[in-house]
Amino acid sequence: MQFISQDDLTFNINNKALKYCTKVSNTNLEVIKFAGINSNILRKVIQYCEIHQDDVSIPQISRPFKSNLIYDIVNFKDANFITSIDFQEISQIIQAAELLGIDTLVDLSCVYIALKIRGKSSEKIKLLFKANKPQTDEEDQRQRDIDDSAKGQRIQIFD
Amino acid sequence: MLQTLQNELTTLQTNSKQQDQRLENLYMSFQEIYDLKKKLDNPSSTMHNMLNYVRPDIFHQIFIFLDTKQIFRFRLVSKKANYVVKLMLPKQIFIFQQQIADQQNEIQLKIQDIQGIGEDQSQQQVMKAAIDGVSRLTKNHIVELKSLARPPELVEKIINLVCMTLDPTFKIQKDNWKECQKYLSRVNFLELIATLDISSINDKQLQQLEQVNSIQEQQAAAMSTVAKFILIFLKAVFEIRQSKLYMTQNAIKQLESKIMKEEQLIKKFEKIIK
Repeated sequence: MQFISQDDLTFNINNKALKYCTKVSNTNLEVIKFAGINSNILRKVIQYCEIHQDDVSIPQISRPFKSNLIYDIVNFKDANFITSIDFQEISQIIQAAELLGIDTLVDLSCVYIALKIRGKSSEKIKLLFKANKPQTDEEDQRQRDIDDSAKGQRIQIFD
Repeated sequence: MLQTLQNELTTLQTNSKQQDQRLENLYMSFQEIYDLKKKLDNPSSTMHNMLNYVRPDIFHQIFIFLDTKQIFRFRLVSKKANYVVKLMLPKQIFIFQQQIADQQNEIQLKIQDIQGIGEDQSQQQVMKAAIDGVSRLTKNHIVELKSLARPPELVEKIINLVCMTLDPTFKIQKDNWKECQKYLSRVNFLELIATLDISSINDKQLQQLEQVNSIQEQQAAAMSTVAKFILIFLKAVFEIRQSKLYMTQNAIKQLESKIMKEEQLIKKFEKIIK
């Protein structure tokens, strides 16, 4: 199957990796365009699926957490993957994963953010969520597009 | 002469210009530093905050992995954070109410379960015999035991276990005879043992109490009369506490405690929503 991002970049995804995208894997479509997901995010989401393509299944994250370190809670591949992503991008990863139905990626991202928040005072949490760079109007619009498509309004489908 | 003066004047003017330039550069550096400090102390409104552009339901998914205390701390971050938390509270109240209903059903089932079970007569007889044994002990026996500076290891172990049984906060450790002596000093020590409520023993205490099974009565008797009778008592307590009746009663107590905590949280959440 091919995924086309918001900025018109095409990504191929094989069937093994596609099985994790539960909301699109059972369709007969060959190409899907995601008007609300930019190429950077889509690339990373597909990378996650490809990391696990040879796994029978991805284990669920057990609670309570053994420790505050992501490497102690999830497997090494997942920990490596999530720690390589910019913190500000993780919310976009969650939205994209929700759209595609990749529940394990949603959980992984949420756990990572939860661990970052855990044990911190309100002041430190405030600093954590502040972006280091100013958001441009283009980025604002892109974010609105992501929100709208996450509500299922803007997926354009090509046969 | 005039030429010399002219040259000197030119040199002075050049130097003056260079100094002016240096001064200007210094002022610019100060301005940069001042601007940087201002940005750090008062972030510009064009700086973007994740709380403002990430949907609240994304945060609700994150909150699943946080405890209530942490979520309340998150509320204090900003008005927006407070709003995000408030949005999820009605759903959380609903979840707690469902949990309470399920737990109450479970309690009813457990109560029905134990209604059919009477107290095991043989166990009761064993317990009675154990209490009789402890009743034979006098204050002098306890004073004698307490006066030992370094009792045998087995005796210390048995006294540790009885202190832990009487007090869930007591920590069993090696070489804490001084702590045991404090308990032995209590005026009503024997009375506390004789009137112990077996249903108040929690699972953690029960787990520790299992150690009595590895001690033989003859071993204890050879070292101390007090240790022997207390060991017999602890063995009887362990056996009865493990019975279905007491296990179920303990489970009911734990469920009731959970329900109480959840009801308190619901009240707290309702206050916040108002």
